[in-house]
Amino acid sequence: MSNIVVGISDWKVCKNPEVLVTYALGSCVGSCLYDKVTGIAGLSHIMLPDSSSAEGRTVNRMKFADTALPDMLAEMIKMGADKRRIQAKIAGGALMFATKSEQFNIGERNVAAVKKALSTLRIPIIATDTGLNYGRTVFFQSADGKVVIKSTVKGVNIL
Amino acid sequence: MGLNNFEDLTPIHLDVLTEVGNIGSGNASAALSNMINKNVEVEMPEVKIVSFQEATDQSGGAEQIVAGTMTRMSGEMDGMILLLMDRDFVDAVIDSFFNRKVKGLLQLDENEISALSEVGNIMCGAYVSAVGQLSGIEIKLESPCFHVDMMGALMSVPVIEFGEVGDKILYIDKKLSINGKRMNTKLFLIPTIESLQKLMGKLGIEV
Repeated sequence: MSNIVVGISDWKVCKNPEVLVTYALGSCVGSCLYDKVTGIAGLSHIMLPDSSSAEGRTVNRMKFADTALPDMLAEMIKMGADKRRIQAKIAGGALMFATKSEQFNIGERNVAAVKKALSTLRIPIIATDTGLNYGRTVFFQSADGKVVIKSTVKGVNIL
Repeated sequence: MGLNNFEDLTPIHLDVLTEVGNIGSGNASAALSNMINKNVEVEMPEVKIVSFQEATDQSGGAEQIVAGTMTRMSGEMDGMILLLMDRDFVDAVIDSFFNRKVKGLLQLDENEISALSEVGNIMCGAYVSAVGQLSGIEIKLESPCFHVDMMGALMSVPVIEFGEVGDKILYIDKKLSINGKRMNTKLFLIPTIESLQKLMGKLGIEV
């Protein structure tokens, strides 16, 4: 069985036993939502915190934390997941190049926006691997809800 | 003004950018050749307008480990220059500076990092000074930042920066060879759309 690839500004949902993967998260954030009873899993890869920054232009809702997460949650519920059981694990949000002028750390803002969006949706975050300065590849196993994170610095970290 | 999005670029715009990239990268490789005392050749650069997926190579190349320098441009042109160096390129540079091989991209020591940052600095400086002379645009460069990581994670930096205005990114890509060996090293000049308008205007091209 091949993994289901989630691109940048993208989200996908699947059902046990499929595996979702998103490659090389830098400052982007990957959010893994899981209902363990039905084995329904969703992985979102957002790039930016807030869709209001697009100032009225037509936006790709999968790009922003505030629009991607409610949409993905709705799709999971449509597939039969129970919102009361869904829990989240998040990864990414690094600062890849620490220049002096990097006053606004987009990785940090992305993590904050994802936390805010999940809190609005009342989805608890049970594990995180965020920040610092390295890229992460995320594998999300719908069979057991495990999130396997690969990085050049830490090797493999399992949430 | 018709040029509000990278997708609006006409074939004439692309030709002009290819020539700009050609002159810039010619100058950058001459600077590199001087620095490392090896023969450096560049291919005609390609101007690419690609989706974020393609830019970060979500198909699999995203996880390849590369060394990168990121340099911000300001002044009359905003944007960034990203130099991605593969293992062969790093070997060639370190060989010429220190006469040794590197253990691996993830095991670079301070001296090696500083040599590679300087190479990034000189190449990017040579590139933009050629673009500046050609167009009469004054471009300032910050000092470069150096980092080794997955290519996709490094490419996500310009992609995010331009993510608010669209879903595509423009870059000028060039490939080079050192002593006849082709490197998988890439130098990306990534201007903002406003800076691109200004550049075209200065070069007398209608936008």
